[in-house]
Amino acid sequence: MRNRCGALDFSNRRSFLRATGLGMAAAPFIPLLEAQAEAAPQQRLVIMVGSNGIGNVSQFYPTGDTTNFTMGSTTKSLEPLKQHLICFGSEFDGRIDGGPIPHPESAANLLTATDPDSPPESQDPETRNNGTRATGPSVDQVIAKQIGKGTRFESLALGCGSISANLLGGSIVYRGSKDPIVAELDAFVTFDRLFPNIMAPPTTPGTKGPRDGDDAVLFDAVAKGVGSIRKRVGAEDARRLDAHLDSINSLRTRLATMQQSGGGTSGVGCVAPMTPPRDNNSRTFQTKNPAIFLKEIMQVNVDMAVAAMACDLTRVVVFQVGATTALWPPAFMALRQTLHEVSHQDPTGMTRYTAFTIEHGFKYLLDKMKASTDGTSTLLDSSAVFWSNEFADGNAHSMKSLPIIAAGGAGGKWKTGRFLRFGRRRRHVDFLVSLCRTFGLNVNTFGQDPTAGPIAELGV
Amino acid sequence: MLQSSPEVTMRFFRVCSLTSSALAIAVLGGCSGGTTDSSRNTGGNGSGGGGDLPSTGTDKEGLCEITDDGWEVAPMRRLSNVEYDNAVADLLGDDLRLPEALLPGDESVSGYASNGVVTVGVSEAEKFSAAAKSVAERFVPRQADLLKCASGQTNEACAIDFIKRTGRLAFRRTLEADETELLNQIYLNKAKTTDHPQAIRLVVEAILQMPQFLYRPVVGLQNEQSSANKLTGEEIASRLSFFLWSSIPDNDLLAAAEAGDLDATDGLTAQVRRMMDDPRFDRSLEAFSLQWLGVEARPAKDDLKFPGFTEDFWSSAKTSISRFFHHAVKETDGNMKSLFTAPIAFADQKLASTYGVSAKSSTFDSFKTDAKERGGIFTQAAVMATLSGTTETSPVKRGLFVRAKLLCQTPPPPPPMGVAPLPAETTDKTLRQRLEEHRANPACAACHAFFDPLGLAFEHFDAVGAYRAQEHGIAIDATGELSDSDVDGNFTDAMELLGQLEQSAIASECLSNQLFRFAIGRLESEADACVLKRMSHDLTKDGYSLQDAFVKLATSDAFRFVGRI
Repeated sequence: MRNRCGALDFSNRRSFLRATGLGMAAAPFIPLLEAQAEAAPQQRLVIMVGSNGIGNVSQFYPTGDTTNFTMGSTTKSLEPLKQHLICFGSEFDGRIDGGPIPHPESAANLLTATDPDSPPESQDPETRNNGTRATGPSVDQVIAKQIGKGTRFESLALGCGSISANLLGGSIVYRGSKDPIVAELDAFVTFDRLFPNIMAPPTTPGTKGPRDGDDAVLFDAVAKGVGSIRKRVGAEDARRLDAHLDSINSLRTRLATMQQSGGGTSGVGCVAPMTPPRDNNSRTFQTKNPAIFLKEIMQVNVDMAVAAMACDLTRVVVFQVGATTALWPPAFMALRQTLHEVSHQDPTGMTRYTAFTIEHGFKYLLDKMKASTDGTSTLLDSSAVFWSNEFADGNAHSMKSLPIIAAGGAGGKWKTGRFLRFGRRRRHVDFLVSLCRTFGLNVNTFGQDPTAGPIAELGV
Repeated sequence: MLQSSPEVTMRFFRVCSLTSSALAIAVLGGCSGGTTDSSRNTGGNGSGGGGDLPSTGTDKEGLCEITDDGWEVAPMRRLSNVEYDNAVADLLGDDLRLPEALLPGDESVSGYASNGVVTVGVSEAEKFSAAAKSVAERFVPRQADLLKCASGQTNEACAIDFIKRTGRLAFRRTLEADETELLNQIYLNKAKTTDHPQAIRLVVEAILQMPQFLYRPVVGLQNEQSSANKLTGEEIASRLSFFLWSSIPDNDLLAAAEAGDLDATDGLTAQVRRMMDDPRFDRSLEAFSLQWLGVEARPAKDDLKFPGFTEDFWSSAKTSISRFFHHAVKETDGNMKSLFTAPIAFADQKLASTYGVSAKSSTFDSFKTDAKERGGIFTQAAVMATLSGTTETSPVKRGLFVRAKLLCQTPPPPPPMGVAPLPAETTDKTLRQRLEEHRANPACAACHAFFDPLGLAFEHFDAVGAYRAQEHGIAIDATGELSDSDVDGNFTDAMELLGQLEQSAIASECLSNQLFRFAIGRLESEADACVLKRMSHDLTKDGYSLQDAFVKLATSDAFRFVGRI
């Protein structure tokens, strides 16, 4: 087993794939990782969520029988990866009671299966809907608690053009009730978070820099500050301060881990991606213009996330592609209206857009995961992956026939290469329950949506 | 929140709109049987008496009743991006402002940055840490200017002065002993291993990410006679500075708070007036006008159809809005009507053709507009462009805007059977004609009848806000009828509709509510709503002066009291 985390080459960091770690300093961690790998393959969870529906619903799903099936025309780019997929038909429904669902409510429900809190105020013009919140944690956060311990990032929420009318109006990831995690839109910020060693100036080991020891001092100051105002505020504000303190403690733990490992990252296949491309040093280039660069934005985020998983910086990633009521037009495919307008007025355009994001986002992700290894198996084999969307028919604002495509071996728990039909309608929460069980959480329900129980057919 | 039928939707909407109406309160009987608690100050003007208890009971005009359980707690707000940035500028220097990407985004209520619910997760904490680092490191070469260490003064003594002075402004109150001690220890420990500037740098970095700086708790003082807590002087000072300056208080304001001046109406009013005369008031005028009107990032447009709708144009269009609002409030002591119909616009050369004026400079001059075509703040290019689609106007967005932002009426959720697409854009029909086809579907008509006519009034303004007489060669028909208001009636176009609305008591109450939401960061409690109703009633008697609205709100019970935690 070769540790590919070599020393950094700062002279050439703009143009090469490179390692993040500091070479042998990371070595003490390697046996530990091997020991874990031998005990049980490390499971991971990767979710990619689209918005505004899938255009023509019938063109999305495969046809055929359990083992001999053909992808739908919208998803045909996945044809070469079929042996890694578990496809479903149109039998899943999200929330369907009461008719059409506002975007933020379906977005809030999709991964939480909760009945969102949506005060009258949230029914604002411009579909701002800023008051809508899920009332429980999303499935990725629940699973991250189970498998993310000890990693530098318990989970990542990455936005790919998920710019909405309101910052929180379309959040899909929730730490807990009414506590959204906003997906990071800026690939540069994500890069600097995940791979800080590349951007930091080189230091000579053993010398003291001006910032030596500062982080611990600052964490302490913030923690004491929380104590200082916590005693004066009400219960709800105290809860928010506690969450802030938790975040500080996570950073503290991360720092300790990094110091222990010499600041490096380790693991077979641990190679940092290229820095996101910049244009005249403008941070807005590509990362903030999905109208032109959605493909590049998706792929740069996938590259970073796959590298982060290969380096075991994180085991849980959610990609939010586009956003509820996205205010940008998919101009890269000559659609001139905003994505939201397209979803209401141009089903053909919406279908083409969906096919585009499946091919250049989801397929790209699966290909990358298939090509990356943690030393025991490919990332794709060790991970449970799925793609979904807040709606099926976006114009109808409907979660009926909700699209789900699962992929990956889930660390040996899933039997792929199949197209599963149930012959009856199911709720999408059944899939979320199954997902929890895939990660060893012995649950029979999830959120508040009624469930018929786990999907037995997923397993090997 | 889903409605089961159009009928329910309609009823829901009507109830909401009625409760906003001054006329309807009497019908609902909300005040006819109300009692007045004579033991309390019951000032009918809603401005509060400056006492320790809020006014309760029913006012003498019978507008509404304030009961003891009508108050709500105020959530602790995190500084908004703009507030953080301004605070850094006011605390350490204007050139230390941050690049946008360093701060987490804002959560909003009713369009106003509020940050009263969301928590600071790991990535947000990282951002605050990075922002503090960026500011503190850039501050190092500038420290001498601000520290002003006296000759002969030790570094340690100079540092403790700086800590007390800067900490007080940053935390909006005199530091507690253990806070001073903590920051002093940070300085002393760091100074042992590095130098004085690095030690000061670390102190600044700590202050900028400590919760005392990032959060604005508003708790108030408990009083056995009321369930409403009166804000402390320091809490009032903080509320005032973020409302009127979008930033931290200055020394004068904190001194007034500590001297108890803000507990009395006179002292409070004097500070409010002083703050409104300060150039920092401009920041809040800009922030309020843009957030109220929902004018933010440049909306997407079809660049084949609108090649001139560039970032430069957008920047000018936004400036035109804040200039207009600034002019209305500060330069002319304008009234509410000026916002609706004043025949004036501010334009530079980029906006000249859109506004049909001959502006040649890159600075903004005021121009008289044709009062029959364009006037007030709502027909400004940036507002009309925001309330449009990429290729054509959006009467739906514009109609909903009038209902929500001008009348504070909550629009109904979409109907239960899904939204039928609008007939496709063609060159032989106007958008109005296509919308009429859409409304031919009775299920759509139920809701659209409420907002479409109000939106169609603005059809003379195209998707980028330019005035037009025709669409596809067909004369624009902007006529319609206003319903569900206290100024119902027919209009021929937007300027006539706005002329009706500027007479509306509902609209003046709504403007007060919008100011409140901006100032407080949450929706009105029952008690707040009554205070605002009375305040609007008083303001309207004198034509609703915009400056008075700021003063009255900042000195009102809705500003000075919160529910008990």
